[in-house]
Amino acid sequence: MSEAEKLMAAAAELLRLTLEPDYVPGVTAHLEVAVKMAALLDQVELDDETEPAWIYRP
Amino acid sequence: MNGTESAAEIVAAVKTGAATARQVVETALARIERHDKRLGAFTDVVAERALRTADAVDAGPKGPLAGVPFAVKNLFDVKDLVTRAGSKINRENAPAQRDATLVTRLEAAGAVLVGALNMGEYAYDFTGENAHDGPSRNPHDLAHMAGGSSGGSGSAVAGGLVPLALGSDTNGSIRVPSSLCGLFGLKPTYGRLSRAHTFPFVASLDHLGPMARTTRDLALSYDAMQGFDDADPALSKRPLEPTETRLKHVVPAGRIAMADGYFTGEGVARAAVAQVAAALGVSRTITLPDVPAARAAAYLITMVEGASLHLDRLRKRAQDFDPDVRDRLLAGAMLPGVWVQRAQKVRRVYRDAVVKLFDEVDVILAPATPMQAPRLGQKTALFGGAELPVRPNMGIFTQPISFIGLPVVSVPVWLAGESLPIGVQVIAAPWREDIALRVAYQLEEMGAVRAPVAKEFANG
Repeated sequence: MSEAEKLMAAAAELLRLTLEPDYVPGVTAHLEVAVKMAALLDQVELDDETEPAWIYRP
Repeated sequence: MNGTESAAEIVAAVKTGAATARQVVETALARIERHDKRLGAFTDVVAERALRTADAVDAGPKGPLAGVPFAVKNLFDVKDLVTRAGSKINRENAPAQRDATLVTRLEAAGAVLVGALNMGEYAYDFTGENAHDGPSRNPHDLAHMAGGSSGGSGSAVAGGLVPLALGSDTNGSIRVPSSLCGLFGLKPTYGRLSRAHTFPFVASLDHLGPMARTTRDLALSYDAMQGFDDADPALSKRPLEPTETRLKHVVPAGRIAMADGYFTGEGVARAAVAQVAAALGVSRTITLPDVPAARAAAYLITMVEGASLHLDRLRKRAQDFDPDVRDRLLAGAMLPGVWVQRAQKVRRVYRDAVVKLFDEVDVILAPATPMQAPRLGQKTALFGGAELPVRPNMGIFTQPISFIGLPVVSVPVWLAGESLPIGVQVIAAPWREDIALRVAYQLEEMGAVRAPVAKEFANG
């Protein structure tokens, strides 16, 4: 089982999502893309003080 | 009038009495009836309402969009229609109780809503292929995609069914179909136009805007839609900043640059930017920093916010989603929160770096899509030499720009010997839609870009 498949199995249970067998290849593929995308974020140096860009106005 | 006139031409005719709004709307409804079976642009036609509105326009004062038929992507609320947002699930909802704010504003300016338009399911799409309603087809070649997710908007305007349509753009969903269908499309600054009473996708990235066959029509409609609306919490309180009367103000070539690096593109995408730059006399290039990370951040935020929006539907109705959309949303539900928080920090840092570039230039040019319209049903294509899925990757050039909310006009380029158009993004600093529109107008006036009604639909 790949890392993405392990994550998928655990997360689906926690989130009360049903993964039919025919969903698994597609979801796995998207998770694998997401893992690669997340790695790209690490290439940007961020200070501890960097504010996230959420839109919220009190 | 044969129904393929621009919005500005229609307004002139209605104001001078050369045509009535009713005649214009009847012509539009007849064209929809005649051509839409092949285009797949409309999901709903509101003929009775449209004729009633047209009669009111004819009987009253003539606004800046008097008699202009328009249609909206079916995620906009239209009173008494179900807001389906391209889905099977939402069409079981009750009809909308009122119109979206932007529909109300366009009608207040004299425009006439004629219907709602096909779209990719829940706006998570760049193809314009809808699993439930069928695809929106590209009027320039019906075997090709219209692009998405505002595919019906692209198809309806390029097919000459209406001169003006509204779409939404989270990661490129106005600019991609504008590019593939050969239209002018405006994605305004994030927070500029009210999204109230529309079905969301990714609230922190969602924009609404117009698509048209001329820059002037974009400006006329954009001007009519501006203004504060406390029903959209992200909306700015900026004053009205009209653009239509300033279109002729030329932006100096020395203040325009082509984005290089990530945005250099290949083949027709690169050639289209070069053609636009040559027309403007621009040779300067400029580098946006950290673009792959910016695109990755937008990609992850989209997955997670989209999944959050649909979590309950994913639990109860997963089988009723388009499988391509469902699988991306399910994956998004499973991503770690720390990735999204980091993505939002990257957004801040990237925004600060890119906005600084506008000290040096007023406009940045970049491809809108990596290629012209793929064939309907095509699942993969070559992106930078690698065969990748079409659906998520048609937005590789639009996603890093909407990520930080910059205003963009996509302009349509026809390269010599090519039968399909491709778009170029004219990107300006936050809140400077006027500058992007002026450059688009400049290009249109010199004939470097154009958005004709597709030949097959140009006559009657």
